[in-house]
Parts: sequence; structure tokens; C-alpha cells
Amino acid sequence: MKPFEQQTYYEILEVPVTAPLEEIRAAYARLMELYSPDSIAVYALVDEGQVDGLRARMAEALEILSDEELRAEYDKDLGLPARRLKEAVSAGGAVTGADAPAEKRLEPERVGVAASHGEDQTAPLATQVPDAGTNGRPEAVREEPVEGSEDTSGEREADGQGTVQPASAPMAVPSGKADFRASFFRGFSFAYVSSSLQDTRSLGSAVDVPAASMQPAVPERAPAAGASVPASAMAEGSASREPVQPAAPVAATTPAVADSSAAVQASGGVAAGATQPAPPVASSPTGEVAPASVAAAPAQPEVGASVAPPASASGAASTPPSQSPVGVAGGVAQDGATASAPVAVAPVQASDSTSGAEASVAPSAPAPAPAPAPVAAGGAASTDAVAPPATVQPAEPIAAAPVPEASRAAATVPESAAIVPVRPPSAADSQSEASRSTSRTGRPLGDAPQIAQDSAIATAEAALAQVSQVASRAREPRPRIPDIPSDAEFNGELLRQVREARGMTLQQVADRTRISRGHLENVEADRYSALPAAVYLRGILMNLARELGLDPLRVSKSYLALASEKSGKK
Amino acid sequence: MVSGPPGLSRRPRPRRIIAVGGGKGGIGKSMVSANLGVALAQSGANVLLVDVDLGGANLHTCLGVGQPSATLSDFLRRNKAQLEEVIVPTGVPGLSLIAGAQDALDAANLKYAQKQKLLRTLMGTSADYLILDLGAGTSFNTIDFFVLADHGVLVMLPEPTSVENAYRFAKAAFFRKLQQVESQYGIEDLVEDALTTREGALRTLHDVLAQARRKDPAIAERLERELSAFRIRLIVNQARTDADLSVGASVAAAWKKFFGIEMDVLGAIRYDDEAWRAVRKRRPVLIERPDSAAATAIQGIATRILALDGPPQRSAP
Repeated sequence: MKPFEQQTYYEILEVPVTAPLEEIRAAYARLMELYSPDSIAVYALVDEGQVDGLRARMAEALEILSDEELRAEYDKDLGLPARRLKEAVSAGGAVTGADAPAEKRLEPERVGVAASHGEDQTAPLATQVPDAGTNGRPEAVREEPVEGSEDTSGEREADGQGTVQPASAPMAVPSGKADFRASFFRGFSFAYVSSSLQDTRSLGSAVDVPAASMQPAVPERAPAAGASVPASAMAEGSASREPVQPAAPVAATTPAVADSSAAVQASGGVAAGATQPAPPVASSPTGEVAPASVAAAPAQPEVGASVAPPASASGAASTPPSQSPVGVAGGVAQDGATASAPVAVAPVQASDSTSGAEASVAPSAPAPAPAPAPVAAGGAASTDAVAPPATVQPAEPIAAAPVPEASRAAATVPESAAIVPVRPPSAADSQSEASRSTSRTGRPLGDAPQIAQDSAIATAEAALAQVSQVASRAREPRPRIPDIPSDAEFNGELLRQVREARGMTLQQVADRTRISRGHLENVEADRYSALPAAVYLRGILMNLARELGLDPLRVSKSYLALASEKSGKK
Repeated sequence: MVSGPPGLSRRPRPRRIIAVGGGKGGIGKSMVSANLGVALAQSGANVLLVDVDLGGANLHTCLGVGQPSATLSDFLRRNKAQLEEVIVPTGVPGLSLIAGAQDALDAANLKYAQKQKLLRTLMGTSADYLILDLGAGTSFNTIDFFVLADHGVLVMLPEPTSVENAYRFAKAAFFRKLQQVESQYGIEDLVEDALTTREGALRTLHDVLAQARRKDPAIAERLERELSAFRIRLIVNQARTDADLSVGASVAAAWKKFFGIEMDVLGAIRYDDEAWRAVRKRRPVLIERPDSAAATAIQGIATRILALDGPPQRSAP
């Protein structure tokens, strides 16, 4: 007897855990009809919100369960036998062996494709970012997605792609869908989707990272962000850690690499890896480090070391204020890769997230020699020091929008070893065309580690400075929500600030609360005379406050007091 | 299974009590009761039908008994000292009837002591099946009979009005059940909260259980088991389309999804002009037109109930 919010995806869809995909889809279709708004069976049973919540959860369930990797990972979370996962891995592994070499040759294009997968994920986010109000970055961010889509479009169709969808979908959703968000906020613990959404939200709120609340979700999030996670991890990771990588994660990721769909799979694999590896990571002093070391591990320890500096730099930046750093990281990640963004945040704070990062990194390791190199590059990139373009980096773009680049770079890097090459370009593009070209040419995989190392060291300081700068910038808006003094008067302005900090538009609030936009505007503008009678206004305020996560009674009382006072004076 | 009033469990009692309710009026509760009684009697059981629709008794009409000479109110008003004295035959072998109160102005307003007396006496009858035909609404006089039954049969039509009332009825029944056991579990305050439906209050059984669990997991566990044991069985009446036939399953699924409690679907009864004609003739459709769609459906339902109860030699709890 447990409420549907606590049911597993299988329970929600009322299918056995062994159900084949067709059965799951059929169950979903049946249930969606059963719980459709005009279904007689739910009439007057519970309030509409609950039915909506159930439907959202079922959609979420279908998304996860219809994706082989996500499902495998989810099963793992549930503690189900990892049979499916193993199958997937082995299959992937076989592919990898065959394709891997080829990919290396092709690096730019192929890699690009792989990256593109990752980028796909990011794309939605990217578009979203501007909305969120991250100034400056929009352009850079946007470019990337476009690129990605081009590259991807060609090869996307590959087997792996199908799986990609779910991952990208959720991310896209968060951007605007209040419903989704709402449902997630009800406290579902699983599902990357939800986590990514939450992250998104935080992104929207200008780096307001409700660390505590997000934390639980972190592990799952990491997988979702797959690509991004590693990046962030690297950024933060201190150089010291080393070949921490458990074999398992690597294996998981490997398959991903094999397919060009690497990015997607990688994320899936990462997720899987993430859950498991997590414990080890946690135990290790700094989980974050792992990624760096991983990259290095296969090829050269030095690489890891080199990467480390940048990583540590960023990590240091974030570390001081435990929250603020997180926020920064999150912000960065978000800019670059929306999906990953959340993840990025997570890593900084929690070792869990790191684990995810490691996992993702791991793939690179398994990949032949070249792989590590790219990874390293990625790490460097994330710190802003892209190996080849390293010199370029310090230049202008970085200063302007260091964060986005870094995050973006990070995002791409993690996606897979294959991706790595691609990544530099993305980073470069934000910086400059020249640098980009450079990076491509300079890409020789063998050299990569070395280059990365150098560049990383060179730019570590700069990166640190940038990050901290960003961090400080990002820090401002965040406190607003928690910091409402206990005696604060909830006037329209404050409500607006809270809403904006939450990253919600008026329209979203209006949609969610069914309060007309006009009323909301009037409330926020304190146009008391234009507002409805107190009875109704009270209801509006209560709903609005609830939506904003404020205390409804307090808000309505305070606002109504203001309203009666002001209109009385008139 | 059923915990009647304390001290009663060792007395002879009906093997099974079926209460037929549904919240809304005019949905065929009496028709279902009467025909179910006929079906069970025809299968060899000794069935006593009781019309507890105190304000609107007409079960006797459904059975074609005519104006009964003695009714439940005679028993309640002590005109007749023994319940046996108000039992009238129905003409169907194995099926007897206690007709509802007639003409007494306050017949529907059962006093507490009267209700207790009736409950106790009904629990003491020795029929194989005691079928209680409940009235509309969710008054305690109705709900208490429903809660006491082994089979709480909920009749509903595939219409929003009926579904709405059915849900309300089911919820009322569960909360009434909670109320009855609250002192046993020390959850009076929780139930109190749950019953004052205000925002923020406990509105579902989940909430109540969660609260109880916070207080004492062991008690919550027992409570949950007790509530799960109280299963509502659903009958969809007057199904006109094929889709209507599955409304019962949908309702049960939705109920389970949101409340975590199983409902059994006993079956759906097709809308059938024969049933209507039978009522006009004041005869149970099962006797009038045993091969009609409605009659077959009711027979199916009776079979399912018999199957649920297992072999007849089962001893009383």
C-alpha cells in the first residue's frame, strides 16, 4: 500500500520487471487512457492535480523503461539483477572492439558524431539557457548545439540513437514544461529526468542550487548528464587521484564508445557505472579526482596530473563556500550542456556525482591509447585550457564567458572518448575560429595528453580566476529565496523576485496555478485597485505562494495587509 | 475477518454477510440484492435478505412479496421480540426476507441503540448468506452495515454521478472503518484529522497510515492489514456499451493506484430491458427471465462470490 509517488516505474505501469518493451508500451497506452482527464474511472476520485501527477510519472516511467540503457541502470538502482545491463554491456563491448580503431582514424568526423549525441542532449538546454538569463553565453552555447546537430544528423540513425531520445527528451522538457517540473518536485527519487529538471530549474534561477534537496538525486543525475559529469568532475577533481576507476564503469562506458552513439550510450553507461562505482569513489578521498586520473590512467599518469591542476583550480574555487562553488559549477555546466549542467553541480558537492564522472571518464581509458589523450584534452578544455588552443584560451572569449565554455567543453568531453576530439572544437568555437582549427589539427591523439597537460597547467590559474569570478557573479541571486527575513513583507516585488529566482515565467506560473496572467501581473506590480476582492485575492496569493514554495498563509496575510493598508490610504 | 461487536464472534452467525450499497439512489441496489439472493438460494444456500434501506424500503416489491405483514420496524419497536418473527418467505426456496420499515415517520432515523440491537441480531442469524440491501447515501446507518459485511458490494452505473457517489461511499466506508478501530490502534487524533477535510489535513488512507507509522510502525502494519482485508467488491450495473463493461476494472485500478487498496470486480450487468420489465412485473429477473443478459450476469456474480468464499464448510471466524 504505497502512494503512486513512491511506486517504481514498473509498479506505476503495472508491468512485471521482466516485461518486454511492447508490453510496457501497451500498458502505458492503456493506463494513459484510463487516467485521461475525461475518464470516468478517475472522476471525483482524487483531485486533478494528483491525476496529472500520475500521468506525468507514467510518462517518465515509459521514457526510462523504453530505453535500454536507462532501464538497465534503473533496474540497478532498484537492486534488480543486472542481467539486462550485462547484456547491453557485452553487446556494446563487442561493437567497440570492432569500431574503435576506425573511430580513431576518423576522429574529427566520427568524434564529432559522437559528440553530437552529447550535444543533442545539450541542445535543448542551450536554447534554454538564454532564457534563464545567463547573459553573454547564449551565443556561444547556441553555436554548439547547431554544430552538434549537423554532425549528428548524418550518423545519428545508428542503433544507439534510438536510445538517445529519452535522454534528450527529458532535458528538453525541463526548459519550459511546468507540469513536468511540478510532478518531479513531488519528490520522486529516481529518474534522471527529474533530477535534470531540477537542475534546470536551478539553472533558471541563476545558480540557485538547493544543494540539500538535489543531493539525493545526484547519483542518478550524474548518469543523465553522463557527458557533462565527467567534465565537471575533471574540472574540479584534484590531480592527485588516480586510477581509481573500477573496471566496471569502464566496461559500461566502453560499449558506448563502440557505437558512434557513444555520447548517448556513454551517458547510459555512465549512469550504470555511476551507481555502482559511486561507493568506491566516495571512499576515495576525493571522488572528483577520479576522472582526471582515469583519463591519465590508461596512457600517462602525467596527463592526469596535468589535468589535475586545472581541475583543482576550479575545484578550489568552488570549494570555499560549499554552496557557492556548487552553484558555480552548476551554472557552468548548465551553460555548456544543459543536461550535464545539473550533473556538474552535483559532482562538485557530492562524491556521488563524481562517481558518475569517473565512469564516464573510464570509457576513455578502455579506449586505445588515443582515448586518454582526448579525455585529458577535455579536462583541460573544461578548465578552459584546451590543449591545442591552450594559448588561445586566455584570450578574450574566456574572459567574457568563461563559464559557458568550460561547461560546454566539459559536457562534450565526458560524452565519450571518441567525443573528445570534437570537444576541443566546441570549446574553441566559443573562443575563436582560429583556436578551433588549431585544436583540430593539433589533435593527434598521441600528443594530446602532453598538450593537454601543458595547456592545463598554463591556464589553470586563469581558469581559476574565471571560475571564481563567475562564482561570485552567480552567487548573488541565489540567496534570495532562502533569505527572506522572517518579518519580510510579501509585496509584489518580492513575489516577483522569488518567482524569477525560481526561474519561472509569469506564463508558467499562470499555467500551473490557473491564475490568469493579468492577475499575476497585477499582484506583482502591487496594483491593488486592479486586483479582485480580498476573498479571491487570498486564494490567488495562496496558490501563488504554494507554487513558489513559500508559506501560503504568511504570504497571503502579509500581502493582504499591505493591500488593505495601501488602498485604505488612497 | 470481520470483527463484529465484541463478544459476538463465538455465537452462531451467518456464514457470510453481503452488504449491497452504492451511494447513489436508483442504481439498482435492490434489484441486485434481490437477484443475488435468488441466485445464491438457487445454488443451494440458505439466504436471508434484509432491507435496511429504512427510509425507502422496496426490496419486497422487487421480489413480488407484496406488502409484508411484519417488517423490520416491528422488530425494532419491540412489537416483535424475535427477528425470526419478522422473516417472511419469498416463494423462492431457500430465500427469505426481512422487509424494510413501512410508514413509520422516523423509520429512517435509526437510533444508536436500535442500530446496535439490529446489528447484533443480524450477526446472530444463522443463514448461509445474509444480504443487506442498503439505502442510498453515506449516513452512518448505511455505512455501518456496509463496514460490518464480509462482502461490501458497491453497485455503480457507468456514469459520472454514480461513480462520484461510489467513490464517496467507498471513502466514507474506509474512514468509518478507521473510526471503529481507532481506539484499538490509538490513532483517534489521526482519524479526527482525516475526517475534517481541510486543506493540509490527511485526506487519504496513505496519509493516515504514514502518520500512524510515524507513531508506531507495528500498529500501522496491523492497521494496514486490517484495512486491506476490508475489500470492496464492485458491480457495474446497466452497462450499455462494451466500454461500460470495463468501467469496473478501471475504477478498481484507479482506486488501487491512488489508495493502494484492492477492489474486486464482481462483474458488470448489461443494461437489459428484461430487467426493467421484470421489475414492472414485480418479479426478480432471475426468475422471470433466467436466460436474459442481466440474469446471466447476476448468476456469474453469485458464482464469483461463492468462489471467493470457498467451500461451504468453512467455519465462522
